[in-house]
Amino acid sequence: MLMTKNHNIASFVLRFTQELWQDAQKEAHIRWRGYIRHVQGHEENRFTDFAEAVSFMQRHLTQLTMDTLAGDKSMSQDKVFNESFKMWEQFASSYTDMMFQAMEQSLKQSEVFREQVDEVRESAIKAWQFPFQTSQEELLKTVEALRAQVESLSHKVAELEKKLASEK
Amino acid sequence: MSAFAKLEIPQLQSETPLRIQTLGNFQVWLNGYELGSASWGREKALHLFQFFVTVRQSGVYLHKEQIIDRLWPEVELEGGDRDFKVALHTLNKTLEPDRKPRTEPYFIQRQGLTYGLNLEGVWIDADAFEAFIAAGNQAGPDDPKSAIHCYQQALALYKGDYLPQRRYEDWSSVERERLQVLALGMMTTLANLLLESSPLESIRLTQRVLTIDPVWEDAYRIQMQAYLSQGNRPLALRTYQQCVAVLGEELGLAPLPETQQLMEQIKDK
Repeated sequence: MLMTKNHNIASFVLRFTQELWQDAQKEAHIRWRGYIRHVQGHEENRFTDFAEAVSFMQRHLTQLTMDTLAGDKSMSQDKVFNESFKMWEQFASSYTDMMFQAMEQSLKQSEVFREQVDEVRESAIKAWQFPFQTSQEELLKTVEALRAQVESLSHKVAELEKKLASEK
Repeated sequence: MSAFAKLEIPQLQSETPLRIQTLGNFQVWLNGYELGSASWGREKALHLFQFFVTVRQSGVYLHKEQIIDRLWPEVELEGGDRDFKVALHTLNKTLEPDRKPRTEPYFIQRQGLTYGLNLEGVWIDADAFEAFIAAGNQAGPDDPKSAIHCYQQALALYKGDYLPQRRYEDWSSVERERLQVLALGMMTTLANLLLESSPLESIRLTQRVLTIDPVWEDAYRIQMQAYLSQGNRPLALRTYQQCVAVLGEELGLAPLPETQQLMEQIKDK
């Protein structure tokens, strides 16, 4: 029978504010800004780049995992971190789909967004830090999966750019 | 019938048996008498009551397991069941000390294994707050006088965040966030409506908004206009500088074009 050994919770409140306006040429512009708060703690952060919110959550979840594992030597720490990293791979894929749908506003924003995706990939890998010994083979597999994901995202950005350019 | 009379205005002072304040502090009055902290017996009975208040919706009850999962997440189901029963018993005793044995409780109702707060005979400040805002919105630009009155009633009720003592419990955070956003919008709208008649009140309201959310840009614009209407151009420009500084520091953003245009108009005056 599967036993849940630890049931730790981290909750976040995310607030998005959308600002819409027209410039002198009557062209519509959109700006998003956000606010995230860790419910169980004091920390909060404001952001314009959703990657910062992802990074904020990732940081707290890493800390939660490390605090839990520090007191429990019976669990395989490598395994726990690898499984957590897979969760973030899946999350990153869904989140970028959502952002593409929400941000079909201007070509400039999609260019900015492509840069942000690259940053997310870089910081996601760094944030996990793999503090424990991990087999090189597993690490390479994970990086390869992430690389394939970024390739797919870049392809989507290129398609979006084509679509927006043809609509202009 | 005046426009104001057509609005659905909630009762501010209620004669209902159970009155609950949730905004800024948590207080309960039963038949006119305040229930002090000692009245609750167990802390978990108080938690349970606050949880029922938070998840209240007319006719919607929660299954006992859902309640246990939210309030006793660290306990196995059997232990949680026992703790729930003890807390519920204490809660019912607190709310209805004279209830006869083997009669169904009135305030915390049960349907099978589901439970919920009976909203008949209960007045909750958060509900009245929201209803006043809705009435103010309904009055809208067609009847600004009524809108101002309604928003001022809502403002009087918003003494602070929802259940501040439970700010670290995630079951209260959705309601807290929802009410805070309503309050910020209401204060901004009211500040805007009072610009001509009471610019000082507009300034006070926008200062309060910015204390809660320093990047609520509408509040900066209204404050600039309020200072300008008082003939205080330097303070109007200083407000703009604060806006620039805060938005830059918190978000790396410049003010919106509308705010920048207002600053230019002020400079040109």
